[in-house]
Amino acid sequence: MLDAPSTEDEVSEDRPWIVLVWNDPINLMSYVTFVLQKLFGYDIDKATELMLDVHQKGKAVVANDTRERAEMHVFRLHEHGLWATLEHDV
Amino acid sequence: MSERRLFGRKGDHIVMRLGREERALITRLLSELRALLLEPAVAEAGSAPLVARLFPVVHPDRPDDEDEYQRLMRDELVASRLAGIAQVEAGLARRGSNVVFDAEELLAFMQAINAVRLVLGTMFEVSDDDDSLDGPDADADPRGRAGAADHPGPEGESGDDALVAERHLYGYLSWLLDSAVEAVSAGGTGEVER
Repeated sequence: MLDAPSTEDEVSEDRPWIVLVWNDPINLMSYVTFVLQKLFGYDIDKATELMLDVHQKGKAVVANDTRERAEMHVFRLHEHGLWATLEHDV
Repeated sequence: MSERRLFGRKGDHIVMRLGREERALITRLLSELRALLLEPAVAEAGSAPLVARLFPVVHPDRPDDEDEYQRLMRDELVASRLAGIAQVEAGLARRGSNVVFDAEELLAFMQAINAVRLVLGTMFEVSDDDDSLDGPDADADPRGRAGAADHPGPEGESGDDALVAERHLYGYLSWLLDSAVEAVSAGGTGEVER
């Protein structure tokens, strides 16, 4: 008899994690752009694009990484006051 | 009339032209922020609403992962914020007519100022539609209102009136942070963290 297939959770742990930054009414657009440049090395154009996605669409994916590194990114974003969460990449 | 610039450069350092009252005001705010962070409720996720924005949820759909993350990282984030506050206070306390920060100190200053803004914004529930909190025009120097927080107004004012000073303070700190971002961006002192 064949073994039962892996559960979705077991398979999903191999998928990368995405870091999302969410819109909030307090953080300045200029500051969000600056933080994205500083933490992820984005140039001004890319950082501005992401910031505008956050502002206009409500959220933006700013990084894609292993869980450990993604949690580090979130921690750094929280240190700077941005609202960030983690999700499994689909 | 020439506009007095808040930020300037001195070699690799940033010079911030803050008056004595402004330095005292910012120092007081940071002290209050520290006191908030040291309250016992802060150690427990969700128990300190005023600082909720300083400790956002990381795994909104995975409560077990969230509990583990907060158990491991919340104290570290508190410690990081406290260290940043101490660093900024030391810089503000240095003798001199102007405040001189190196790049690291300026970044700590920006994070600390923004943290105070997050607390204030939470206090009066800032929303995207709240134009009243835009404060002075973006390019105008609001420092004429900087002392508003020290002058709470006449006795017997209503609860809403009591937040007028905090709202002006929020506007001032927003202007200060925006000016700092402009200064750092112009000088390119923002280093990539990997």
